[in-house]
Amino acid sequence: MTGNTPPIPHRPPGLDPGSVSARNANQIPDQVRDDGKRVTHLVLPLLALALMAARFPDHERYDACVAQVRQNPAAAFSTGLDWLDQGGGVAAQHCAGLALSAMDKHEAAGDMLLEAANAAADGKGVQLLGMEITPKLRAQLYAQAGHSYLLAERYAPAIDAFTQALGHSPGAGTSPEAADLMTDRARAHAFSGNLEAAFTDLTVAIGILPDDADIRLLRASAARQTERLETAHQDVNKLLELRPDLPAAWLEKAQLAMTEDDVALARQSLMRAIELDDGGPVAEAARYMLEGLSL
Amino acid sequence: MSHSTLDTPGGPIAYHKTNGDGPTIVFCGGFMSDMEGSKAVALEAHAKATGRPYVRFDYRGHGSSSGTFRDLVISDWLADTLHVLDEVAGDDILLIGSSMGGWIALQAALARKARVKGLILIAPAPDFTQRLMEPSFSAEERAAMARDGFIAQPTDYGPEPYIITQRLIDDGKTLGLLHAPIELSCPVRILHGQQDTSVPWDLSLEIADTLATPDVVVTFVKEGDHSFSGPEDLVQLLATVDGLLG
Repeated sequence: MTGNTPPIPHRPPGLDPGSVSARNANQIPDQVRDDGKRVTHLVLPLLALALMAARFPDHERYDACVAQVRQNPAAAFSTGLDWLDQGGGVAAQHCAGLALSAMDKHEAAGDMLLEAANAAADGKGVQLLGMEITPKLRAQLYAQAGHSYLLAERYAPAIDAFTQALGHSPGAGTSPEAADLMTDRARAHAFSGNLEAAFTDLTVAIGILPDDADIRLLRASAARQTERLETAHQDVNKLLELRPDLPAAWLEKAQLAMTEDDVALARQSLMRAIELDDGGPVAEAARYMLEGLSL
Repeated sequence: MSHSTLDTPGGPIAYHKTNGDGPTIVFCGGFMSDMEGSKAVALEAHAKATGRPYVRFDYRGHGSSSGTFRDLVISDWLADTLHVLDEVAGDDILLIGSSMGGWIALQAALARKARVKGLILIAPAPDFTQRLMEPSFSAEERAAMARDGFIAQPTDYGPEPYIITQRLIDDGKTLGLLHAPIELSCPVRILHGQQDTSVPWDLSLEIADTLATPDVVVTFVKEGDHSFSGPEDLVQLLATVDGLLG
């Protein structure tokens, strides 16, 4: 029993790719793999586009299509395609892409949104919409494509889409939006197993938003897994300074403590995570990790 | 995560009790376990949902209970378990033991035969001190044990060692079960993951053979690991509880 201590069950994916068996990977909550946040990303630019489109002749059609996405995505997809056939351009593609996303057809949504983004980047559809497509909007379209590819677990096109989004993002890569895109691209890198690239992107993002807890958490995880333990400590300490009651921060502290052989601190941190999130997904992950400390 | 406390001659034991009807389900954790782990808490949630009484607790030297781990041995943790059975649980008991807790549950069932109505053993590790620990000691560790009375065994997740004392090994010999029939007549269910790298799954077959009761069902889960606490494992565990309690 002692010679073969069971491996500590790591937190599932997030920035710990491949650390949990496929059997459990989709069933155990993960503090980092925050699908809810990604869906928010998909919804917010949609509203931005709707607001912009409101100034143009096709806005009512666009608004109706988007409203239909929420009510009946399959019907909205047909609406979007019909409109596209009639020359609806970027707006029609965008609505159809959102409908695919709402139907959980994420890869197809990514393809459709990417097509819309490319068309917008090429200037196609501008006249049909009667609107100027700003760099910010183009960046949002690429970002939406990237989020869809992330949800589809198609990491290479996700990375490409986020890279395109960064290229169109205003502020020469120094804006908060750029930091978000870097963070999203870091997720895609991490899921694809390239933790070095994830760490690099997150380091840039932290340079822009040093007090962003989500980015600190992700970089702490990436730093730990690329054996930059000093940086991981700095991030965890900063994270706990920013958000002392964030359960995921304590879970990461526990992971770091395990990496550094401090089982007592790991146990203590897991207990804090459980206390702060009792009944929640982080506590569940912490309880699972706690199981791995016993024989 | 406030808990109740049971005073015993050896020191306070931390526990959580859920009230309900029927036999009290009592969970015995493993070596260096904690009653906040997934299995103990999942069993509690299930007990609440089904209206059954349930107790989870920390042995002394574990979790929130008193005492220092390295000063204690298996018979201390068996004594803790018997205190919980006698002073916290109801008359009828369904005992669940994980890993070392399986050994303790078997011993506790032998000590309270009339009250224990069923046993669920998860990756049970009776006799592990003799069967699994001692054979794993290197020559250097044997020498250190003879010299110092303890060894520090490294773990897979870092060099902070577990302290294994000669007292623990000697104590284990007095509690060994697998050398003779285990005279229990209650139903026993054994769950064991075949990816267990700590306790070999074929030990469960030996336990089944050694148990006197004919009512033994052994379930192997091909993808299960030693902790047996993934979502599917927990579903299997709760179904086993339901199967025994009806």
